[in-house]
Amino acid sequence: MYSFSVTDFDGWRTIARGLLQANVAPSEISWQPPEQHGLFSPSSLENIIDSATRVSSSYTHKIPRDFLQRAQQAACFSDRKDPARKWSILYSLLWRIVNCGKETLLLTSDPDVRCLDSMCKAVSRDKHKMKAFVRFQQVVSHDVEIAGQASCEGDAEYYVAWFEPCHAIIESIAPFFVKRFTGMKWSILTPDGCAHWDMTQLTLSEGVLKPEIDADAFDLFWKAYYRNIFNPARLKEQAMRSEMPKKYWKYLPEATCIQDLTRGAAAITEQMINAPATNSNRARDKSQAVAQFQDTLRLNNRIDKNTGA
Amino acid sequence: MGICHSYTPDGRCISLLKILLTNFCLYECAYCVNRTSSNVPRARFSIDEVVNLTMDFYKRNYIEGLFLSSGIIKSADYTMEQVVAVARKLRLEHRFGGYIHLKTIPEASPELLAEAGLYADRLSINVELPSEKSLKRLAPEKNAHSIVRSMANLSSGIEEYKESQKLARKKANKKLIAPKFSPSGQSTQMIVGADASNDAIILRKASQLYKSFKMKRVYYSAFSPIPDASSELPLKPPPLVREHRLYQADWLLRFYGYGIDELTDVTNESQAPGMLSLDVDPKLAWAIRHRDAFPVDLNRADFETILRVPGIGVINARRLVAQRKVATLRYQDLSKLRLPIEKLKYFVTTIDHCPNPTQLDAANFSSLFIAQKNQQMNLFE
Repeated sequence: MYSFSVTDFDGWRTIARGLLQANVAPSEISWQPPEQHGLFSPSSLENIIDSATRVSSSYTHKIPRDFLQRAQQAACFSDRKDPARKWSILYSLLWRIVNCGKETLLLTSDPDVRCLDSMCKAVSRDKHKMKAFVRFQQVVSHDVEIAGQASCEGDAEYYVAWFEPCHAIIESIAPFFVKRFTGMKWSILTPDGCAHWDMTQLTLSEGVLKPEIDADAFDLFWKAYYRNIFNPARLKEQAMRSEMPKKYWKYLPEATCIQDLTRGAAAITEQMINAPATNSNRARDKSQAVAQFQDTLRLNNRIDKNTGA
Repeated sequence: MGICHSYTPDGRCISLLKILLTNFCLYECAYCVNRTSSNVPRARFSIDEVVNLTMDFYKRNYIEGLFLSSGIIKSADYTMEQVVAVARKLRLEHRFGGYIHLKTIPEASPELLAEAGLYADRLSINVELPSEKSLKRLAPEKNAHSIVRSMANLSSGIEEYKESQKLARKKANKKLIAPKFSPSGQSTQMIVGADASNDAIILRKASQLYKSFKMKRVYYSAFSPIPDASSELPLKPPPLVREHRLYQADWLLRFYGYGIDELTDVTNESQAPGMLSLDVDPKLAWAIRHRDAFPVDLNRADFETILRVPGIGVINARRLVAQRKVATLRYQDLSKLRLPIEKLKYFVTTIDHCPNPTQLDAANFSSLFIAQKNQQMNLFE
């Protein structure tokens, strides 16, 4: 039995490549989370490979690119109960791809394949929700320092967001925010790591506790918008909750409006339906200019029809 | 488009800042809350106000971009010029990289439409109603011919831009790319339930729009109670589930190879002619009417036939076809793919499953689904 401790995808990839060359079966390996030291440190990998005389060193396996991409995605998955399980599933799939062919990945009802699928899905959903629900606040007070980033350098506005993703995605998602908010100085802070952009360079730093942010009150405008686009005649609270689960509400300033909107919906709808209809000539009767404008267009439209133009 | 940054309690995705430059309007469209005769309070944004609001919302990651429309003031050209000015300022002065959708006024001059296409990712013109007659009656200031003419103008502008991109790629010469023109195409909106048009008429109109103008989407909008309604409107709004069924049918027409007649030819049933069933979705309704085509053998049937099985979508149909090349499909595989077994089981066979033929032929077959569905329908009421 070999034992390995892995922290990230690149680490796993190096070890897995060596093990594959030495033809070590998945059942012979125990993958450990990083804090527990394995019986073999990664350096002893060379010994395993060296002793594996049965494989020629020039032999390389062809691994489908699609699998590597998905494996990299699944590597972000955090499983609190069994943190190293993902590495063993990835290796077992890799082993099967090499020995049974890449069709293995088509077995969508196979437990390993399904596990890879569900890990990828969970990570991709987490990324998607982070892209959607990260909310920047503009820092008001100058000379503050947040996670080692001073806000007063130059005159640029400084924006900060606090977010708690379920999986280890900050590093892989940071380039998305760089691309979108290139012209802005910002930091995204999470408990597991932070990303900072100073308009020229992306830096990553250790995770932090939730900071107090002295932000401007711009969310007032957003809340006003949110309250006014709601259609009380179409209340579908369940649909909203399934797309925007309550655990994200703490990031969303508009979430404080939801209760009032939902509660008042039935009464407002009732009121709208029961209100007397308005005479469609109301404006025309009051203003000759309006009547004239409309009559010109209406006449045009009639002529249009008559001539069949 | 793209990411939904929030959801309203009515379940709609908020992705764009969707506003009117002004809700002052000289038109009297009966279904619209901002028609001239309406008593709603009126307001108007300045160009800078909309520009700044968009920039500030975007920087906070509230939105993907702007969807700007406007009531008609002074004239079609004057109004369109204001709308274009917002987009121009966002793109040229603020280097705004987000999404812009502009609602285009069909009566505005082609030059303004062309400029709008430079800045907007998407342009749209509302067809409003399924027939010219209804348009005359409910939106008397709108001109059906201008709508068609402007849609055609947009379509050829979009096409020209696309072609130039293709040519540039082929010759590896970026200089051949024409000035941008609404790169995400055009879309339109149709009001449902304000006139007497049935679903067959609505879907026929939509198909024609998809075909003639290469529409990206036709949006169906069941008119919903508005404050201060017009006396020209029917008293009762249509059930919201009707709008939902139209979207389902639209999808089946575009991506599943169904024909309009296949979906709406329901004369032998207890519902109004040309209307989609409200109780069950249009795909299931078709399968119930064509029970002779089932059960489908998932291990042998071709892709198109599998696509017609209620409960199997494009992605799962593809998965099944790929998977059966590796191993014969078993009943268990269907639940592992999380397919809706309760619906599916009557319509398919696998190597170890065959539905009871008497069930499929039974006269009360459809009632099996209506009972299931009635619980779900509460969602839409």
